[in-house]
Amino acid sequence: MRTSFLAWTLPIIFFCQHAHANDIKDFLSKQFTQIPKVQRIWLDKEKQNYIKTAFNPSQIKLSYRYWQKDNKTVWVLDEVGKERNITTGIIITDHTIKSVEVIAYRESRGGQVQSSRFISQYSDKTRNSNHLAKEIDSISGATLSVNALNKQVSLALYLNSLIP
Amino acid sequence: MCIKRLIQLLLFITPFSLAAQDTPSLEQMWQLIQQQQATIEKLQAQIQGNSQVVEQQSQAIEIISDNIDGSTNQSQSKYKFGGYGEVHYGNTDKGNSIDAHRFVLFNGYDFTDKTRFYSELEVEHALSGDGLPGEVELEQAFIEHRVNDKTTVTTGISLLPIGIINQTHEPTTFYGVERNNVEKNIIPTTWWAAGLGLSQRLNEMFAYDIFISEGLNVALAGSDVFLIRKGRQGTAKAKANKGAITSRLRFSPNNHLQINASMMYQQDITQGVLGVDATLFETNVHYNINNFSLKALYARWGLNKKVRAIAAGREQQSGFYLEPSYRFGSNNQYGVFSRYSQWDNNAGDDNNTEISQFDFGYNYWLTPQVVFKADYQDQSGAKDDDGFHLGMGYSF
Repeated sequence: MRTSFLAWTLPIIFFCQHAHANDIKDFLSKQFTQIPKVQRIWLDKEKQNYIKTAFNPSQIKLSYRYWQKDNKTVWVLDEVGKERNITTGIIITDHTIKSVEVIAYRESRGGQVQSSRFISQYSDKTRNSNHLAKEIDSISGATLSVNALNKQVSLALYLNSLIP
Repeated sequence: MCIKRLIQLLLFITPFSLAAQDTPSLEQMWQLIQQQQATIEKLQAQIQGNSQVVEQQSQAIEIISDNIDGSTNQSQSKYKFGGYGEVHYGNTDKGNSIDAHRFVLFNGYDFTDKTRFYSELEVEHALSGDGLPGEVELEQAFIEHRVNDKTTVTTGISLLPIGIINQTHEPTTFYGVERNNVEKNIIPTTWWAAGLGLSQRLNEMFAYDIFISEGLNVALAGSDVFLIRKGRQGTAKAKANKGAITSRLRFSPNNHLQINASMMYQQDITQGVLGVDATLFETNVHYNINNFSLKALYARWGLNKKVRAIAAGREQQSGFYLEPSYRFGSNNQYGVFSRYSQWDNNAGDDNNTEISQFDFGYNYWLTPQVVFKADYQDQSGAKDDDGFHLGMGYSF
C-alpha cells in the first residue's frame, strides 16, 4: 500500500519537467512572413471613457500595440478571466475578424475557450455585430473566460476602427 | 515693331549691367558656397540629432506608458484576492430567518506563471464558536502546477470534481437562493478533501480529472448513521486509514452541450471499523442554446451490504433534478428558472422516505457579479417545507 502510494507521485514529477511556453513572438511569426514594426494607438480620455462604457475591460491602457501589413492587422490583448490575464491574438482584415487565437491561458478553470470549435465563432464578426455576448455560444463552466474573450474581440474591432 | 524689340532688349540687358557692378569675384563666391555648405552640414547634423532625441523620447513615452499601464494592472500582481458572499431571507414552514449564509475570502499567490497557491476561507452563518450557529471553514488550500496548456496537477485541500455546483458555487452562477437539495444531501456539496489531483484536456471534446483523497468517516449509530453528508471529515484531523479515489470524465460534443460523469470509490467509510466500502456515481448534463438552458443531474450512492444490518435504508442514497431556465433583457440581466428535484437518503429499503421539491423563481444580475434572487419552493413526500426565499449575492 505504502509503496504503491509513492509510485503515484512519480508521474507527477515526470509531468512537472515537461513544461513549454508559447509566446507572442511565435504567434506573430505565424501571422507574418516578416513581422512588421510595432505601431500604437494612443487613447485620449474620451476614447478611454467610451471603452469603459462599451466593453468594461479589466484595464484600459493609454496605448495599444498592433502590427499591420497590407490590410491585415494583428492585436494582442490581455483580459482577466477570473483572476489572471488571458492573452489573445486577434487578426483583423478589412475591419472583419479573420481569426482569434488564445496565446497564453493562465486561469485554473475555463480552458475550453482555447478550442478552435469555440473560437471559430468569432470569424467574420464586425463592429456592426450586435452584442457579441448574445451571438457567441457560451461554455458551461467557462463563463468568465468566454466573457473575457468577448471583451477582447469587441475591443480589438473598436481599436482597429481608430487606425488612421 | 522694331521699337518694341529694342525695349525688350534693353529690359533684358539692364539688370545684368546694373548687377555687374556688385558681382562678387569667383573667389568670394567659392567662400560663400563653402560657408553655406558648412551651415547645411551643421543643420543636417542637428536634424539628425533631433530625430534621435525624438526617437528616444517617443521610446521613453512608450516605456512610461507601458509602466503606467503595468502598475494599474492588478492581474499582474503575484497576490490574488477575491471573494463571494450571500445573505438570505427565508420564509418557509420551518420558520423565518435572515442569515449571512456565506462570507468567503479567496487568497492566492503566484510563485511563477505555472506554480500557484490558492485558498478559500469561509465564514458560514456569521458567528462561529461554542453554541453558535456558524463555522469557519478552510474549503480550499492547494498548490497548483500547470504542466502545460492542457495538464494541471494539484496537491492540498481541493473541492472534489463531482456535480455542477461543488466546484463552481459562487451565488452569481446558479439559480435559487439556497443551493439545490440533491447536490447538498446526496453528493454532498460543498465537499472538500486533502489529496492529489490531476486534470487534463485530451482534445476539443474530452477532458478528465482524477483526485486521490482522504475518505469519509460516517456515524455508526444515531439519526446520522451512515449519512454521507455527516461523514465528510473536512480535513480536520481527518482519519486517514482508508482513502478515496474520484474520477470524472467531461465530454462536450459541441458548443451547446456539456456532459460530465463522476465515479468515486471509498475504500471504507468507517475508516477501518466495519469495512464498508461505497461507490458514488454522478452524472450531469448542461444544455445551452440561445438564452435557454437545461441542467440535469443524477447521483447515487451504493454502500456495502453490511449496512443492511444496521440501517437498511442507508444502503442506497440517491436523487436527481431537472432545471430549465431562460435569460433575457438587453444584457441578459434577467433569468427565470424552475427546478424539479427528488432525493432520498434512505432509498435502500421499502419505506417511503423520498422527498420531492418543485422550485421556481428568478435572478436579477445588477452587474454580472452582483445578483438578487427570489424563489418559491413546494416540498412533498417525507418532508413538507413550503415557502419562499429572497437573497443577494456577489462575487469578485
